[in-house]
Amino acid sequence: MSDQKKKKLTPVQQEYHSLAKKREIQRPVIKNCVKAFFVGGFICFIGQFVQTFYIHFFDFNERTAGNPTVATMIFIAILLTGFGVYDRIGQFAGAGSAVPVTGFANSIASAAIEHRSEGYVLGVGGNMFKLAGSVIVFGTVAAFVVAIIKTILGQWGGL
Amino acid sequence: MKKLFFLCFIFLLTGCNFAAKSDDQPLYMGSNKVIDQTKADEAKQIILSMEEVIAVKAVEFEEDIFVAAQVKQFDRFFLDQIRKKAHEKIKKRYPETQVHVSTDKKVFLELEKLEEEIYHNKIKKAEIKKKWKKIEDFMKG
Amino acid sequence: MRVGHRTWLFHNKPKIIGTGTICGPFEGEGKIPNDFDTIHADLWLGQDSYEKAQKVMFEEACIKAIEKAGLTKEAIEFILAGDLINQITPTSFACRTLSAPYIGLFGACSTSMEGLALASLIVNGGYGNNVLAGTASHNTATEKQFRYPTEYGSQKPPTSQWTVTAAGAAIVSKDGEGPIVTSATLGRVIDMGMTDPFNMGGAMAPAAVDTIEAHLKECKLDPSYYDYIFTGDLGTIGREIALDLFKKHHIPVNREQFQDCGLLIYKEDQPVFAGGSGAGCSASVTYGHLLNRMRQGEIKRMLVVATGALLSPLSFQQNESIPCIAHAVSIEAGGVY
Repeated sequence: MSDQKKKKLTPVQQEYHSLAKKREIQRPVIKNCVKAFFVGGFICFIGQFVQTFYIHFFDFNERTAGNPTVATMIFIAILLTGFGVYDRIGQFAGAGSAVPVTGFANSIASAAIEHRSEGYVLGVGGNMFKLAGSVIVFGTVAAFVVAIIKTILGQWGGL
Repeated sequence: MKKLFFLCFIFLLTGCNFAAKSDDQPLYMGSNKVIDQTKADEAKQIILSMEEVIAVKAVEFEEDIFVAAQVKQFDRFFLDQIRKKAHEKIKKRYPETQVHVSTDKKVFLELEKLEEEIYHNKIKKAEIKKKWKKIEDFMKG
Repeated sequence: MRVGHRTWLFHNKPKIIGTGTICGPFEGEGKIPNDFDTIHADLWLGQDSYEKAQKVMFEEACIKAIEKAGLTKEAIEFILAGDLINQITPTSFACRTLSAPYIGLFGACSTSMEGLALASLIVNGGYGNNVLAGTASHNTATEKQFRYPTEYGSQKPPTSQWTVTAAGAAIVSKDGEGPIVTSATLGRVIDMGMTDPFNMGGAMAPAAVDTIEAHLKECKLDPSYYDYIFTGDLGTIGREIALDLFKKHHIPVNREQFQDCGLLIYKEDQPVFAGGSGAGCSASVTYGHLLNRMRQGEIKRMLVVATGALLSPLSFQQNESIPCIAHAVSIEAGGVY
């Protein structure tokens, strides 16, 4: 918690916070990192396998194989989400399964499944990007900012 | 659990060692084929002498030489520079030919197939021409 | 009669004459499956949405309670119930079929004891003879309401709790036989400035301690008067913090005596993190497991303190802290079983 937030608390609340802090079970950060590393790596390994498959057996080169590979990975992730497996992988792996494109697919598919009961237009359509929407917005904004910096440096910085 | 991670780590290390095996011997096709491949053979030697390259395939057809190189894992970060360097090296040897260097896996595979076919004299000139166009497309990608 | 500031003593002995508890599949695999009247193997209960499933679950709990009390639907004079979902619709919809005057309650997870306390008050005051109090919660419906979609692969921290899929209903009556509700202490809203929605136990513990402290003080009782003090859903973390607070406030509550419904319902090896939570947790454990133990003579007197975190998904996204509340009801064995 930031210091600014802490200042607003009364002394009694602050005292309780320090008391409660002691009993709080901490997230096992290092263990989670290791798990995320291996599971995330494994997902990428599968992705690499799919890409190699497309290169070997279809008319794709390394660059064009990217699209069908991503589509395949998304398809697998959505299937796993629908079967209720992906959230368990997510609980185990944390960022490992959230960061690859499969995590993005999962966030969209899970929201779509969840809100199916409210109908297709307002339920599925309206809520599908509940979680992924912010990723898209800030991804676009970040890409825009980076592109501007790159252009400025390229034009005037001589890079 | 800890033991498992340790094992994984060991595998990772050994895996890297396996991959760093010595360079593949390229297939030298010689001059007595459908198309004279001496330039391609020489290009292979030039490229393979580069430190970053572990395997190479090359075929020449009419005025073109297509070269596909497989680059060592960590040198893959500098693919652009490696392609440029390889291109310059071959160009210096054969200034009058069109040199195309690629590091794409697909081009590598296609050239490998073509090499085999040429080596065993299984392919006609017209067919090579057809394939040539396809490989050129892959190189652009 | 009121003693102290916020404790009601019920002299006319309102009794819990019938209870109904329903649970889902995950709870059926837990520690106390035999104490539920019905265990559903299907999380959907054959409905097409989880909210409808919760509605059906609550209906079934009410019908079971009425049945076990030997009454008919028409004999129920008031219903005091609530839940966690948007504007407590599952409960309200369930009450369409019961056709008794209905008072909707919201006290988050403390709704169970809030209902029981008010039902006892009505019966004790002679304003009703058979009053039904109950609540329900459904894991996935609540997750959908408060957190992420159920299938979303986010990692929950070890402080988070698992919302129980269960419903519990009890009929409080002037006549008949059953455990007696002797007193109730209503809670104040306590806000210790906790903001982590994944650490409810830590936020709710002070509220529970405040209510227990007030109850003991106002009734002039020692904690040893009760065989057990059960909290609603503090979970492991909240329970430890509450024990620390008792020590700090010099209230001699010992570890064995102070139990938590959220920890009683699941086995240790079930992946529920810090324990169970939800309105249905304290309701189903109290009306099922605890009253059964009371009927077997194992418990003579107990204090059930249901704790609730009064947050909404909107409030914590706006960085508001989590205000909490706890209501205590004292239940004592009485009569012949």
